[in-house]
Amino acid sequence: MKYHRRLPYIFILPAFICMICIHLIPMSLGVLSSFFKLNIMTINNWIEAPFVGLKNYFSVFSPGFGFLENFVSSFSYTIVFVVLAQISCYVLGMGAAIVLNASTFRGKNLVRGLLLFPFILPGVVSITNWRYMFSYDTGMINAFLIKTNLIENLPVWLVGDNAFWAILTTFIWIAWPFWFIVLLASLQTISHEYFEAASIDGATLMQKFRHIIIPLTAPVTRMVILLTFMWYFREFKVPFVMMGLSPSPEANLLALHIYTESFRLWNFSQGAVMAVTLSMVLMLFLALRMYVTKKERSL
Amino acid sequence: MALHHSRKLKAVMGLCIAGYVLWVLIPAGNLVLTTFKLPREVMTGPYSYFPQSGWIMKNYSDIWNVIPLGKYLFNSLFISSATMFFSVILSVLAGYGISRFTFRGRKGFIGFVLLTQSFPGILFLMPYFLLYIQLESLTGLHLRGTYASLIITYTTFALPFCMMLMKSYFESIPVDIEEAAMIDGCSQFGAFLRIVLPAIRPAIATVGILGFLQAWNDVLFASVLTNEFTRTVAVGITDYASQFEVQWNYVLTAGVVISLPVVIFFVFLQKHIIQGLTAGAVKG
Repeated sequence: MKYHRRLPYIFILPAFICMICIHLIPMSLGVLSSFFKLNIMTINNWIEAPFVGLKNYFSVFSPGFGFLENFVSSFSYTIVFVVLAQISCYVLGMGAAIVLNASTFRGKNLVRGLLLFPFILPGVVSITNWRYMFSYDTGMINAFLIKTNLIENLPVWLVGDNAFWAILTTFIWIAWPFWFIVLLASLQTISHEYFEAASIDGATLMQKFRHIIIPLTAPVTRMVILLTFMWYFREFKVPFVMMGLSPSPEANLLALHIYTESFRLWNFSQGAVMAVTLSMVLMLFLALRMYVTKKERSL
Repeated sequence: MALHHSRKLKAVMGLCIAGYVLWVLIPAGNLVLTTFKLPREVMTGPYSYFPQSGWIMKNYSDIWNVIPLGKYLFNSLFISSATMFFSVILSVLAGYGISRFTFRGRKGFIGFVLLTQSFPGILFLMPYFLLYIQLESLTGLHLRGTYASLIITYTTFALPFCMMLMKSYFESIPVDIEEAAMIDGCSQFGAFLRIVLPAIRPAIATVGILGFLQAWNDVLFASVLTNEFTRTVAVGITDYASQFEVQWNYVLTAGVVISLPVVIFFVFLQKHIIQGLTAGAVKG
C-alpha cells in the first residue's frame, strides 16, 4: 500500500503525546523525586527542594529509621497476599470452569453470567459490602457465627491478623471470575475426542485432569499467573476502601503503604523510593512475561 | 462428553454449581437486601438476611439528600463518558497506525506502550500532585480538581490495553479489502472510514466500555485529584463509608445506584466485554 511518509506518525501522534505527558514525564519525575528532600515543608516549592542524592534510599533501606521495618513487613504481607490470592483464584476458577464446561443444563448461560457478577460490580461497591459483612456487631458473618455457635468469642474482623484474611477473602471474591472466564475459554478449545479416548482407555477423572486439562491449559494459566501477579502486587483499592488511611500492619499492602507514607505522613521522598522499588519488581515480571510469550511463540 | 456422566457424578456437579452460585449470591444478596431495610434495623440489629419490617423504598428516596449522590453521579458520568470517547478515538487512530504501516520507531513505540503497563498507578500519583502544584504556581492554571485532569489521566491509563486490542483487531482485517476500495476510487481515509471502521465495531464497543469502567471504578487518582466539586461516585462512597458511624443502608443504597449503569452495560454487551477482556489479557 502506498502512503505518505508522514501519515503513520499523524495516526499515532495523539496517543504519543498523551503517553509522553501522562506517563513519561511523571514517571521520570517520580524517579527524580526520590533523589530530593520532599516533605510537608518543601512540597509547595518542590522545584527548589534540596538534592540529597541517595540519602532517601539510604534511609529506607537501612535499619533504625523505622522505614525499613515497615517496608519489609508490608512487602512480605503483599507477597503472601498475592500468592494466596492466585492459588485460591486458580482453584475456584478452574473448578467452576471444569464443572460448567462438562455439564449441559438449561440456564447454563445464566449461571455463567451470574458467576461473573462480582467481576463486573464496581470494586468500591463489592468492598464496602464486604466491609459491612465483616463488621463486628451488625455484620452478616458474625451473625452467622452466633447462630451456629461455632466460636465462643466473636472475632473483630478488621483488626490485626483477621484484617489480612478479611481483605484476602474480599479480594478473591472480586478477582476469581476473571480466572474462571479465561480458563473456561481455554477449556472450550480442548477437543472432546481427547476425553472420549481417555474414557475408552479407562482413565479416571483425576487422570483426565492431570494428563489432559492441566497440560492443555498450561500456556493460558502461565500467562494469567504472570499477568495477575503484576495486577495483584499493586492492589490498592481493597485495603484502602476496607481499612482507610490507618490500616492494621497485616492489611497494609504495598500500594496503600506508599500512599499513606506520602499523603498521610507526608514523607514524600520515602514514598517515592518505595514506589520506584515497587516498579522495579513489576518491571522484572514484565520482562519475565515477555520472555515466556516469546518462547511460546517460537515453539 | 457431557452426555455420558454417571448419576453420582451429575449429582456432585450439581452440588458444585449450587455451591458456586451461593458463594456469589449470598454477598450480592446482602448488598441488595440491605437497601430495603429500615436504618434502625441495620444499625442496631440483630442481623437478619431478609428485611424484617417489610420492604422499604425509603433509602432510595433519602440517599439523594444524605450524600450529594446526584452531583457525584453527574461528575462520574461526565468523566467516564469523556474517557470512553477519547479512549476510542486515540486507540483507533494509534491502533490503525501501528497495524497498517511500517515506519521508523514503530517497535520502540509499541515497546514503550507495553512497558508503561508495568508501572503501578501509585508511582504516578505523587508526580501528578507535584506537576499540578507547579503548573498552578507558574501559570495560575488550576488543573487539580478539574474534570480535564482526570479525563486525560484515565484515557492514558486505559490506552495501552485499548491500543493493543485495536491493533489485533485491525490485523484480523485483510488489507486487500482496503486496497480494493481504493482502486474503486476511495481515498485512503475514505477506505478507513467506510470499510475498516464498520468492521471493527465490536472492538470499539469493548474499548469504550473498558475506558468507561476505568474512570467509573477508580479511587486511587480520584481520591487525590478531585475536590468537593468534582468528586466521583467511587470516592464519594468511600469517603462516606469511612466516617466514624457508618450508615450501611445508605452506603449500600448508593452502591446499588452506582452499579446500575455498569450492570446494564454488561447485560447488553456481555459477549463483547468477555471477548475483549479474555483475548486482550491473555495475548498481552
